[in-house]
Amino acid sequence: MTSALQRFRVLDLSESIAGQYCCRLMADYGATVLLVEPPEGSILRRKPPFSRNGTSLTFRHLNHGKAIRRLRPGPAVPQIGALAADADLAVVPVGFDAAALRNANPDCIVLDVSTFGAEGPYRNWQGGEMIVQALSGMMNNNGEAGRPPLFGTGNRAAYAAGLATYISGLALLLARDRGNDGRRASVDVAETAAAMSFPYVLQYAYNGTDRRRGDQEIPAGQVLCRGTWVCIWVYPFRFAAMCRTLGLAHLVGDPRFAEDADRTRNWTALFDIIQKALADRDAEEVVRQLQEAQVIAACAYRPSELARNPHLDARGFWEITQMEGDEIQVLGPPFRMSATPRRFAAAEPMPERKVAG
Amino acid sequence: MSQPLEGLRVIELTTAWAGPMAGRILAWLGADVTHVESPTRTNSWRQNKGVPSPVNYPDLDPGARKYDRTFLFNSQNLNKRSLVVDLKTAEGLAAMRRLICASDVLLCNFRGGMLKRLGLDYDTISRENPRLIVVEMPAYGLAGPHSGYAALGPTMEMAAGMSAMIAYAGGKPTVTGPSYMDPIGGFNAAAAVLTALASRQATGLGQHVEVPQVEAAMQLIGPELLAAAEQGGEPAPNGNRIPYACPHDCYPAAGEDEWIAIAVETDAQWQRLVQQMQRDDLARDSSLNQLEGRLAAADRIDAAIAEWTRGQDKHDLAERLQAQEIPAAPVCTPRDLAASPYLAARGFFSIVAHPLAGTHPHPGLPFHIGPAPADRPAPCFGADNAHLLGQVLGMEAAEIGRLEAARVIADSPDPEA
Repeated sequence: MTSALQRFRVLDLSESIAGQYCCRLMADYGATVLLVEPPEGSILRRKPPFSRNGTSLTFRHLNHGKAIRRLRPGPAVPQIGALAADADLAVVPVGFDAAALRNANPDCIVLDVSTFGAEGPYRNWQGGEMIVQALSGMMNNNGEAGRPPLFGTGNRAAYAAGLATYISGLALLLARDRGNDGRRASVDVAETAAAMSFPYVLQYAYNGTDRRRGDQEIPAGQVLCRGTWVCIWVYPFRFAAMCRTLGLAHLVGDPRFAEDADRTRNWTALFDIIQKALADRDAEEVVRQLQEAQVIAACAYRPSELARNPHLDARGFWEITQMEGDEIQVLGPPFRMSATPRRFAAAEPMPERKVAG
Repeated sequence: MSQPLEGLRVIELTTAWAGPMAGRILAWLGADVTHVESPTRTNSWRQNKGVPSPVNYPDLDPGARKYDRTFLFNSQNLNKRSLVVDLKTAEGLAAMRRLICASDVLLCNFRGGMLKRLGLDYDTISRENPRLIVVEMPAYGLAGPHSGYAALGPTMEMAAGMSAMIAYAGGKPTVTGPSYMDPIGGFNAAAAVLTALASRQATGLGQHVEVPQVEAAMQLIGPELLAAAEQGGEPAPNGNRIPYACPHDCYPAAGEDEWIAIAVETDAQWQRLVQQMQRDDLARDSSLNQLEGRLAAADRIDAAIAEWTRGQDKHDLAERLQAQEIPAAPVCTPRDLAASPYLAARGFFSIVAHPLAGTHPHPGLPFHIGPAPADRPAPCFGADNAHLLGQVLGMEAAEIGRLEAARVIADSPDPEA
């Protein structure tokens, strides 16, 4: 059985979450990927969080499955040119001089990845996740009315830009094999974040109205069940089913909750009652019973709860592979392909590999 | 140049945002994408049910065909065709089956098991069309104890471990806006389709691909999950504060509900910030020179910054701070996005003329792979029935007319469908 991208060779010069995640996905699905680090090591090796032995878990997550080579001190161009000779695709940071790549291999597809773009009014701007989320429109919609907007968590826009880079790269590789001459693409994290924002900007274009956080009336509430938060989605046509399932059948006839509008008005009172009833119930069991009654519910898992999770375990989600001489735990694949599943290259040493000092 | 996916036919059985966004990406890359709905069950983003809310329509007017005029559906279905066929009828199902057999990709974002029930699953169809790629996007995957659970964007964000890391101090887990999982699922499903196409280009064979949206999204917080797996510990989210940078928050600016985000990632940036604030006392306070000291004094620092930003224009101040190499940005509203010089320079918006909704700038996708043709508007309900049944399946006009009369196909939905 072959892998989906087995015939492609990829150079990862990106030095960014987006670029390295794109190339990690390519490695997941079978491409031969060489991560090229500057002499002092990739900047992502210094990105938190860190494992107990001091390794960056960000670097580990982004780069397992790749061969890794450090450039020697001195001019990088000749070294990179040599590596590019048989590459199908290279991911480079903003401002990278692609001439060396093109001279060595005019057929190589080059993907530029940056936060704010190589051109345009913000080309000199800097900032991470919160800054791009502020610009994207999403942050304005996130959080409670009357309180500061919330940016979210982690570096989700940068990872999504990695997906956008992956899509761009595969589109160009597919097109190249069909005789297309396109060899360049660029992805901005900030633009990716804007594309992920709920499309309220089109609402504004349609009629000039503006939505803010808290304007959405989401028919959901959260209750704490023995220390785990459970979210319950109460569609009007499932209210009675929810009440019966939770042993609160008497609420169905309660005039405070009779119609949708009554419930909206008395939402806090409703969830106070639900909270009292469920405080000492098992969260997983509550969700299971609600789902059985076709009421949408979910646990708001903490990360540690996902590390030991019966559903994920039954699916074989957590996997073990090798990286830089260590046995490491990694997340399951983002998608599961029936004919060409993600496979880790057997633990044999990769030819290009150089263990970091 | 021709578009990368030109000549490929994609059938999309999806609703709301995640699935349609995946199809929108494939359409943008040149595929011929058909969004399929039923006269008895419309895409929920057409908002055919209930009393229309004026804010969803051009000029606040739902018009005669409200389901063709909402910004929600019209934002995610650019460059596609619309087929409206009732799969509960034998003839509708047969037509759908023939169409899938004549296609390259079937993209499905309904609950696992639906395709099998209809006899449209990969195992069945691939016997006839071995080149077919079927991508399904079940929230929790097709197997495992939670595989039958229904989900929405916000509940998937909770199940993925993200919400627990987003909260005001001491508060409940929060979900990101109306939904952040949908665009993530859209990107992942499009990536899955392209990967399967790359495989098919080498082998000539299609395959089935499962995109378990919750697991796929967990990749985006991979390092945080790995840290929890190794070290335990619980996140204690505190608004916009993070352990690696301080100050790191948004602060009130001039105007109602206007904010500026400021992120100080290095000690040098801190010195430049307090210089901008003309706060010599903070500059001289050696306890704040390094991250650890600033984290301990975050309340005091944030209060000082808020006092300084209040009353200042968020755009001007962000420009000024960025000019000093201090990460900052206005917290943008939809109005700000529409006027963003950055997005304009990037060509993010395209002007799209919709026959029933009018001409407006539409938000785009972050792909720049060469010149792209102008965007076509989202299709009106059932607009391409005749093309698909006639041109693709070779049905006679009289036969198509008969199916229309029997409402096997339709160009208007049943009320409240």
